Formats: sequence, structure tokens, C-alpha cells
Amino acid sequence: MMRALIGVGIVLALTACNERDQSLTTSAAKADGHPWQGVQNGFAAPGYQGGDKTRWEMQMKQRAQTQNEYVKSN
Amino acid sequence: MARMKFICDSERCIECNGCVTACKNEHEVPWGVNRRRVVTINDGVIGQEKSVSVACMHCSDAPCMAVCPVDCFYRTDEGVVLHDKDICIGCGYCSYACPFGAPQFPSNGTFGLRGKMDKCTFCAGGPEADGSQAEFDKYGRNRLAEGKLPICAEMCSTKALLGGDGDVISDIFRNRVMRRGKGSEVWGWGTAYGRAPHPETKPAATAAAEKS
Repeated sequence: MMRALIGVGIVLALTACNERDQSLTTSAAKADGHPWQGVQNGFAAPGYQGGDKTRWEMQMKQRAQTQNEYVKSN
Repeated sequence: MARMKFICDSERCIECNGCVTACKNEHEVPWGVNRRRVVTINDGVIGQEKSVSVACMHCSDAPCMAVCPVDCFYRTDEGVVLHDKDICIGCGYCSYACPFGAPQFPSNGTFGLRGKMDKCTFCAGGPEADGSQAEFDKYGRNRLAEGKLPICAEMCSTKALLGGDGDVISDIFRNRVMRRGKGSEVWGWGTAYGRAPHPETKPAATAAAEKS
């Protein structure tokens, strides 16, 4: 029992000696929403409604094709 | 979904700065801050002048994220590198680390001569509620959440700047490069606007005159 308590005490005492995780996966930033969730500000693209990831991805792909002049009328 | 990326076609960019203007207007970027800019090399040398539109490239292994002492950067599922201005201390380390000079610092911020960092968000806003006024005030419009692509790419008059899903825009770019030829063929109207699929087609008035 005594050994266990000493062990726990040592672990707690040395916790402050640990190095903070500095990997790129960590961030102190606030959690951000997903773009496919849509907006409520009235600026959504005509005919587009957010809330569905697949629909958003399709919208992005279709919208990107407006940059492709080879699919335009001439 | 692949990663969101920009590609700038230096054969097409005409240094009009339309992308810069569109970005500043869309996001109401303050005076002195340019999230995007056009860089020209061999300026004035005929035939060797090349321009390219540069902003944050949303690196897969972003050096700005690596050096930030307060870990204010994060990467979205779409590969867009964003940051939290509530955490940024305006130290400028990201500016030194970035090879593209993307991080910008307004001169009228909380920290006197160097405010909190501002950079291209790929029109994806920041860590505030999507489309909210708070998000707009800090980061500008969130066009991705509106079902749109970055304004700079969508406004580009020659379509030199492409933005969107990396797979899609690389296909567009690859197709363009394969079809436009090389040498003198890359210059002029056909380069900017595409060639007509039927070169023998004539305007209706000309065809009617020939018939009569």
C-alpha cells in the first residue's frame, strides 16, 4: 500500500517535468466548423444548400469546372 | 475530397492584379495588407516576362505552423491552413518561416506597429461560426461554406489562377497544357480564351456575303 502511494506520488510529482507535445497535430486554436455545414447569411451560391458533405463536394467540383474554358460553349 | 490548392499558370497571368483587388474587396482587407500579390520576373524584357499570383499556398507541411510559439495554426480537413487571431501574438515568426511571404501584419493592431497576423484563408474564414459577422470581421468571407471557390481564382480574367480541389484543378491545368501547344502558340487570344473547336467557322455576315 505504501509503495503504491509512493509510486503515485512520484508520478504526480514528475508530471510537470514532461515536455509539452509540440507535434503539428496539436493546436491551441478554437474548433472550427466544417464548410459543408453551410451558412445562414444569405450569401450561399444560387441553388446551393449546405448541410450535406457529399453535396458540398459535388458543388465544389462543379464550381471548379467554371474555371475550365474547354467545357464552355466555344 | 482532395486537398484544396491554388495553381497559377505563368503563361497566362497578365499582371492585371484583378486577383489582388478582388481579394481585398471581398474580405475588406485593411490598408497595407495584401493577402495576395502578383510577382513579375524579367519585368520589361520582351518574351521573358513572367508573372505569377502568390498567396498562402496552404502547405501540406506548413513551416508557419511549425514555428508558431502559441500554436494558433490549424489545418482543416480540406487541407486549408488557417489560424486563430484570438491566440496569435503577432510575433512574426511565421513571416520569417514562410517562403512565400504570405503572413501579413497590419500596422494599426493591438500590438502597435505590428498587429495580429493576417493571411489568405482560401476564402474559408476562421474558427468562428461560419458566415457570422465575427468571422467576417476577423478573417473575411467564408466562400467555401457558401458553396463557392476563392474569389481570386473565380475572378481571374484569363483563368491563369485556378483554385479548388487539387485533383480537379490539376486536371484542368493538364488538359490546358496538352492542348495549347508551345512556343508562339501560347501567346494571344487563343491562349487566354481558348481556340474555337471549328476554326473554319466564319461570322454569319461573312458567310452570307460569300453565299450571295
